[in-house]
Amino acid sequence: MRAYVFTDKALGRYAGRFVWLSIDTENAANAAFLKKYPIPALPTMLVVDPRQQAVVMRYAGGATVAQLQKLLDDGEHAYRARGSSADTLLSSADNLASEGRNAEAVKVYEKAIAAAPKKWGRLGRATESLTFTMMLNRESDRCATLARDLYPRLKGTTSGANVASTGLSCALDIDAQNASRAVLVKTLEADTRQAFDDPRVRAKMSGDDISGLYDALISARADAKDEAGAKALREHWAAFLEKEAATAKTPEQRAVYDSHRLSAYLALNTPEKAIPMLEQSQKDFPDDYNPPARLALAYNAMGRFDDALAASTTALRKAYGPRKIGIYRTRADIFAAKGDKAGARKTIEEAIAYARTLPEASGTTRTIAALEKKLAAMPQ
Amino acid sequence: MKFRMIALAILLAGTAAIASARQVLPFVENDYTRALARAKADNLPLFVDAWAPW
Repeated sequence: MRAYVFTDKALGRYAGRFVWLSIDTENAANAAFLKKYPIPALPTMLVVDPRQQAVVMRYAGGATVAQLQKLLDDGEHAYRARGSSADTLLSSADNLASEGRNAEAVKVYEKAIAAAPKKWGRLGRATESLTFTMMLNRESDRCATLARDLYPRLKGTTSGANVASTGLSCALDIDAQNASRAVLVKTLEADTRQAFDDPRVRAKMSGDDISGLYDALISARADAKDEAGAKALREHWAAFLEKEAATAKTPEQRAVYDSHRLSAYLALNTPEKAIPMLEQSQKDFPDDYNPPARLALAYNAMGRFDDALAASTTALRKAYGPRKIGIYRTRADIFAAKGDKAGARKTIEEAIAYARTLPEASGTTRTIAALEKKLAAMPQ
Repeated sequence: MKFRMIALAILLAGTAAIASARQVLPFVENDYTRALARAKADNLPLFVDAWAPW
């Protein structure tokens, strides 16, 4: 978003129509905001009515410029409260979801969809938000069923692609004993594949979003124990990402693909391919902790443990916020892979000490409990 | 709407941190109180981009 979207001059006409706030969820200065509006996924965009501090529009996920323009129009529309009853219900559901009241939000999203006029311009967003909220609630079966039922109405749109792939992820999470699982996975994999193969849909999606479709399709092939199919898709994915990165106009845009490419290279067991791009990003963004944190993962996968630890030291020096705990975890894994049990234990102890310094809004109680459990299970 | 689950996204997720990418839209950085006061005073809706350097 920051590399490709917010810099686009086409958004200039919106500049005076909103007050714009950027919230880095890792920054401790935002603890009070995050307590009021818990953010379960990144990025999340909100439009807030400042009079009641009520959220009138919420969208979890990235967007292209065209998608953002529609979200801004929707947000303005909701702020002026000029919509149909379906619009009002959608706005209420977004507000409930923004307060973390997910079970209530699900009911109101369902009402909004039931009340929708024919050709409702917000059906796509409402369905995306509903499947996402069900996923958060771990209602995998309902999420997948809803996605399967509504996909035909959204076919040919980016929302349709997102609903199909979120639905597919939900279907894969359904308990293996559940009789409905197989048919939901099969149908939603076909739907996701259809969106993925549709050039009209792809033309409207960001590279980041297309990468998300690969992710869901690869998981489905792996779930079907089709190793050859999964490998072919992973190779295709890596080639797609390399092409996207090669056509990026700025270092910022190129670096957007670092995380996806690293995932693809790790999955293909070719972590060495990640090194040149990460070294380049480290040069381009010397203050960013992501390149060294990712280098630590790549070196670890290559068995170059000392290089991995050196990169991890650099990343820890630059990192802040809850994200730093992930870097400690990787560091502990590196020590463990190296056979240094004491180093691994010490690192988890350091992670716990660090986590205790974070504001509670970051969900640190659960994190600390998970780290303590990990520590208890570690060999002395 | 490719999103990243905060609980799951440890190291692999995300987009790079870019502080300079804000010329077109005048973002207030990390100050809800100030942005909210301005939105009230100007009678405008408040747009929030919640992100992290992932």
